[in-house]
Amino acid sequence: MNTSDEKMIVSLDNVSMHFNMSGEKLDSLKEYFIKLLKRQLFFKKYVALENISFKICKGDVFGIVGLNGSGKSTTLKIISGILKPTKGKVSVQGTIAPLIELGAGFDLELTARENIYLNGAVLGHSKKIMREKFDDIVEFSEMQNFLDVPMKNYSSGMVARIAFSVATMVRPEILIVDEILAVGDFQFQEKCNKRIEEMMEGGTTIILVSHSIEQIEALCNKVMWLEKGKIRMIGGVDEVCSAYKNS
Amino acid sequence: MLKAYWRDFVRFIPLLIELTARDFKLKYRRSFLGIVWSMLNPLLIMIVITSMFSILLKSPPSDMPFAVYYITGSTLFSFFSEATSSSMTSVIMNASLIKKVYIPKYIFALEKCAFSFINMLLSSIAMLMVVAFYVIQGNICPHITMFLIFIPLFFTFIFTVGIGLILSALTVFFRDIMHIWNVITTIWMYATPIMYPVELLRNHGLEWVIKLNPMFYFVDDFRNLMINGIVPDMSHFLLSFIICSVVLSGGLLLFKKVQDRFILHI
Ligand SMILES: Nc1ncnc2c1ncn2[C@@H]1O[C@H](COP(=O)(O)OP(=O)(O)OP(=O)(O)O)[C@@H](O)[C@H]1O
Ligand SMILES: [Mg+2]
Repeated sequence: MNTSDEKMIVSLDNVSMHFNMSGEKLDSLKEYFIKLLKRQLFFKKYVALENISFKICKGDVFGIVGLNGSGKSTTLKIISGILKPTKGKVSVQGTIAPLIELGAGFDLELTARENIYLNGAVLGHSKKIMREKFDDIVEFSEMQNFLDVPMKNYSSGMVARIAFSVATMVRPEILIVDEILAVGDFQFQEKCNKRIEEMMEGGTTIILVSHSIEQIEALCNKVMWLEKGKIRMIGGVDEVCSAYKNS
Repeated sequence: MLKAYWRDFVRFIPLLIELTARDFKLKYRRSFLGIVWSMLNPLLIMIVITSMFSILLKSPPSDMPFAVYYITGSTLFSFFSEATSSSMTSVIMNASLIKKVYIPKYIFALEKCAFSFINMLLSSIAMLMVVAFYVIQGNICPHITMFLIFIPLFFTFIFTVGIGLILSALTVFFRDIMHIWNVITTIWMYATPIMYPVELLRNHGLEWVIKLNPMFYFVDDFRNLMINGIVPDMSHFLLSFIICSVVLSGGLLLFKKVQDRFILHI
């Protein structure tokens, strides 16, 4: 393992994430005070991640595998700064383009054209950059004929095309992909894989969550296997994937 | 530390603009008159209120025509109530975004205030039309102090942003606020001399109501500069400045303290 600190781009140090699973969210003042008086506040915590530590180096394509609910998306959200961990330290060097679940940063009432600019701004890009990249984005997504259609009329694959195109057009230092490629057709998946490979060559670090073990094997060099919020195994792609498949 | 916050803010200015543009597009989409409504609406309401009050009230609230008195006050106050109500729900409304990308979350509250502010500037055109009408009629005369109205406007904006931040943060945890705020702004509006003269409160021994009401200072300064040609006391401005600083920094601090927990409640 490479340990020179300069090349670390993401590092998690003893990170734990607890959720309040009491079911009822305290949305009203009355409930709050009643609970406060009865001292029932914030019981029943759910541990989604427990003492997770790992490092990702610059240029890695890091895969995360695990069953449903094992904490993959939660890990990605912590890396992107969307969630603050309950315990532990996270450090990230570089800009992140998160592709977590479908349609993030879109307003489905707006047209695709308007959404491309909105989504670019959500990722922190200026209007000028977006104007320059607009044609490329449209071309890559192949949605030329649907540009002025409100996105509520799009199919989920079409939304994913636009989302992936925007997120990868302005090259981020870290690209986070959470399963969103699964809804694209095989042509677009191939195109995305090619784009990811291009970005890898360009030095972008990629963190990929997928239930398609073939995709992980094809793209990643390191893999982490999560089980019920803990690291079951972490290491080279071959050893982790074969262990995961045999489990 | 502060520098990092500033950099984050600058990075997301395009988002602020983009979100404001989105609100405009969605507000006026498929409407015939579109943006004209922003001017027409306050004008129509003013006509209704003015004709009602000319029947009810014997004497106008001040020596300026009631229409002018009303529309100057209501332009400012409508901004306040519209901006605070919409920023109140801004964090909840943008839950889908907050759950999937990192964005400084105060952007949403700020954006709603900015959007309402631009709307207010549009409705000020209606106000200027009313003022121009009475100037031509010879009831009032224009004053150079008119150009200083940006001062109370600025104070109102800062004050509103502060309240908006507090409301948007609290509403995430206590949804009751959504239901009660409407009532509070209504009471607040009646506690601010918009339709009646200040003397009405004074005569009833309710002067403390205006003393405690920041919106009164802003509205009063605004009217004085706009119509009466009076530059308010320096102490008035100083007081406004202190109120705004306290409310804004209170809002920012509260927001910062609880924003990491938003995601668990939306
Ligand atoms: N906001 C939340 N509040 C409460 N519990 C949550 C929250 N977000 C996630 N969890 C819980 O944390 C656990 C891990 O969820 P996560 O979304 O990370 O799973 P995942 O590995 O991405 O699963 P999948 O393969 O289905 O996408 C789940 O049991 C889920 O119920
Ligand atoms: Mg997931």
